[in-house]
Amino acid sequence: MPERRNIFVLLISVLLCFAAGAAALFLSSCAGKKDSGKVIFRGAGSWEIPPAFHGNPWAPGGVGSASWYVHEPLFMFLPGNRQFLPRLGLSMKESKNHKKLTVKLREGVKWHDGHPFTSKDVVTTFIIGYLHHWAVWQLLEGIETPDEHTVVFRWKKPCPHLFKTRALIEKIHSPSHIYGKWAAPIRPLMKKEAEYLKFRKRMGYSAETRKEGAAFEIEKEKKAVREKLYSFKPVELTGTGPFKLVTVTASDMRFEKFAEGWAAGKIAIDEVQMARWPSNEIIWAFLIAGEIDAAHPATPKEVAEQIIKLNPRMKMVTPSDLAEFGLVFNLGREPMSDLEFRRAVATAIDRDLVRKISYYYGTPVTAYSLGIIKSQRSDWLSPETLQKWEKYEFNPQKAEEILLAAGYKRNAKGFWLTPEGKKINLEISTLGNSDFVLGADSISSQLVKFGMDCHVRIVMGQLYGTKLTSGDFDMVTQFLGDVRRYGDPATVFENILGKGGYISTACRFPEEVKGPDGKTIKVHKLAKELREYLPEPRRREIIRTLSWVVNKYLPILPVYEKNMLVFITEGKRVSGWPDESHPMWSAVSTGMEGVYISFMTEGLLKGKP
Amino acid sequence: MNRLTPLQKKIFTSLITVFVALSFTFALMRLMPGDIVDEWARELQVQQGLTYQEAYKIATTRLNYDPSVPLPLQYARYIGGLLKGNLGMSLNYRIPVSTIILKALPWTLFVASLALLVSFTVGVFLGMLAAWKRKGFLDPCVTFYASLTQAIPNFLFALILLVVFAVRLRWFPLRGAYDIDVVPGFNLAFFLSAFHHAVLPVVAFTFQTLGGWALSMRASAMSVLGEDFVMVARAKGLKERRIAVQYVGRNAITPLITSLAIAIGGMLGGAIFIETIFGYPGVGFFFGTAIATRDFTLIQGLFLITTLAIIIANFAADIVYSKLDKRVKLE
Repeated sequence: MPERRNIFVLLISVLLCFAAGAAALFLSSCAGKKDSGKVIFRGAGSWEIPPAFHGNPWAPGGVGSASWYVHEPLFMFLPGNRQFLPRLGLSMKESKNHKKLTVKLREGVKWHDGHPFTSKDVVTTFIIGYLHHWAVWQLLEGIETPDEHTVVFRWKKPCPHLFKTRALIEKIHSPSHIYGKWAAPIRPLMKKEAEYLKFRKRMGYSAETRKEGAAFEIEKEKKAVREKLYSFKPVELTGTGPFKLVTVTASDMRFEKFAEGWAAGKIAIDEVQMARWPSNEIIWAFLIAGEIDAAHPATPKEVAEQIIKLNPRMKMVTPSDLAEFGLVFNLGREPMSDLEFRRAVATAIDRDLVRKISYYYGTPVTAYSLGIIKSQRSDWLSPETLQKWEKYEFNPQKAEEILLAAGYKRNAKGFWLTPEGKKINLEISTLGNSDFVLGADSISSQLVKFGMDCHVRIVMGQLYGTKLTSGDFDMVTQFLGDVRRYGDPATVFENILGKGGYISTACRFPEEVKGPDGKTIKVHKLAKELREYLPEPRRREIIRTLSWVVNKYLPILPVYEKNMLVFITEGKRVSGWPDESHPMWSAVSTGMEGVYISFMTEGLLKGKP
Repeated sequence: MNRLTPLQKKIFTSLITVFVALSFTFALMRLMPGDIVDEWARELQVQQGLTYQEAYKIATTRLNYDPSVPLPLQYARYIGGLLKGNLGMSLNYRIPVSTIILKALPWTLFVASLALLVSFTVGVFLGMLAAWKRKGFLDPCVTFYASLTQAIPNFLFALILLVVFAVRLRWFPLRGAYDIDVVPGFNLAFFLSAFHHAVLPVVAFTFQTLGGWALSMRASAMSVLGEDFVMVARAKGLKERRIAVQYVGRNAITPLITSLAIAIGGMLGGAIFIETIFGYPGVGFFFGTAIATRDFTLIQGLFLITTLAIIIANFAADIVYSKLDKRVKLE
């Protein structure tokens, strides 16, 4: 009976497989995690999984979220109130002409491999940053190290907040005893390039000739150094941060407290474990299971409530993400090119309803379209100023009147026609993120209800930039007023109105517009000027002018200010989470892990009571 | 060509297929809309508050790709590299594509082969039973199960498994290929942990494919049941079980060999969604990442491996089929 035997063997194999699984399950449960007595914090993050993971922060692949626990900047920046908190730097002093920034470094700091941290390490990091086109080098002339614990940044011209912040918040991750050999060949290249740039300026060469001759040779030499640097892929990740990376797998990372760290005495957390963040849906599962202590997935209201219900130790904090979700209008395409039409659209949309559907925990933005996010509006614009500006509150009646006055009319079915009698057909392009899609869909439904044929097109992330540049859209969803990193409106207006800005390119905003007094406002020029060091009154004046331009000409329509939805578990493994009023929460937009680390180094987060 | 033996012909056509497939993949990658450097630059611009020019410069230094190199030259370099056995360097990671594949493939093979073994054996057994007792309860159940599982996307089922067995019941781990506490290597703790972590991905893989095997076997067995030799066997008074296994089962399973071969080849491509949901570091995981980041060389390498595996498996199936069924000859 060979056939019966064959089937029997097959069945046995299958059973064996299941048995092996069951045994594994049983034994691993028995082997289980015994309570080691350690205080463990569990978070979630992203990194390139092995074999792409390595300890060189410069080379592609690299360290991902591990950097937050292992590397530190000179200062931590709170963009909400534009405050700097000492980290590797203890204090800073700017010269009167704003061309020199002196930073005193913390003494006694050590790298994880035991080497002392000195000013040389700061210079090494910045020199290699030059090779990687760090934007700070546009203004940075050089860095000096008068002693082991002092660093002096010398600027080519007075340094504005934006560049100062760039210099201070970069993570210092390249110890000179490891990366010095790559920094060494860059110095002569920097000198060579500076000389070449002077020569080019003298000769009046245009930017187009940049790749010719000497410049081409310099780029080639820089590339050669870069390639050598990229081939260095150490297993160890060295930093000065409060935690040392111990293990990395495709799904988890483990860090242990760096006993010789400068803040070790205050830190009550012995170990950090990080789960890899595959998607928001999986993170919800991790939160419900109590697998992680904190995470900030974008979450609809119902799901958030369900998570809280299923995990009673969980609570939420909702600090601002310092950006607004909204629409970008294509001024290069009819009927969006018509300001009256844009005004009507802005008035026909119930923005608060969109917020409730798209991102319940956002802060409503219902009146103006300023470029500046709602939570920072009062820092730059007084209520008296705003009172004089046009509001775009939800009012379908007003929207109808605007359209009728501009020559638009409805057809027999109630759909709007252009003054030329063409039926209006609009498209909202959006990324596939659930909150974006829900927002776009809600806006589209409202416009359809108002009598405008409108539909939503979901565009893949990789094609979104191309879509925006091509101008092949009527409206796109986008984050606006983004001051997440530097807390500086300069980047916002550069983006919305500046030459080559991400949004200005997409919406085809003109270089000049008429101001309230009939005079021409050169918006490209003003947006550029805002990136320079300016006396405060001039800076405020430009911000006011550009805000007026955005509100008047409506290239964008903010819908809500995004608040981060941070889920925190109190008392399972850690406790002591500060409430939402703690200023450190305002740094969530610069990187959530940075906030967790700060709570640890301040001694706020402790083990379970 | 006439002088070539059937085996040589088969090898020749297989090589042509590989060449066409890799050329097609190469072209397809480059024809995808959007500029990879531009995309990186725009992402950096938004993330770091840079101007577009600043961001573009940074993006070009990070990527191991120069879009200004003419396509024919890129193609020539790619083919030249392949002939030397070099799959190229990943654009994003700047490590050899072969290194990534060699690291990821064992995990995919482990999970997918277990899943294939379970789904094929159980599916064939159920299909055979359904055909044999086609007026019984099992037949409509198998058909219903197959229709249902084909209709449910595998990632949805994977999510359900995750929520039920990992989140609620906590029987299985939520993610990964093994526990972070164990040291990968030839030790019992590692093997047990790997098996424990593999259970949910294996079930997710198996769930959807099992119904297909059952239906195929059922259809194949039904056609064999009408053959004269089955009637002769019955007329001879042979035992039902012997007819079912030796006469029907053996003949009905033969057409499934080709499908099995393709499935074996296809499993090397992994399952993007399942591996991503379970954080499983297999080929599918890297496929998903490579597609998301437009890592052309990595996508090409992974496609090539999958194509080769399917062609070789097909080739092997043809040979095995001709040995099993003497009526079929390799042509």
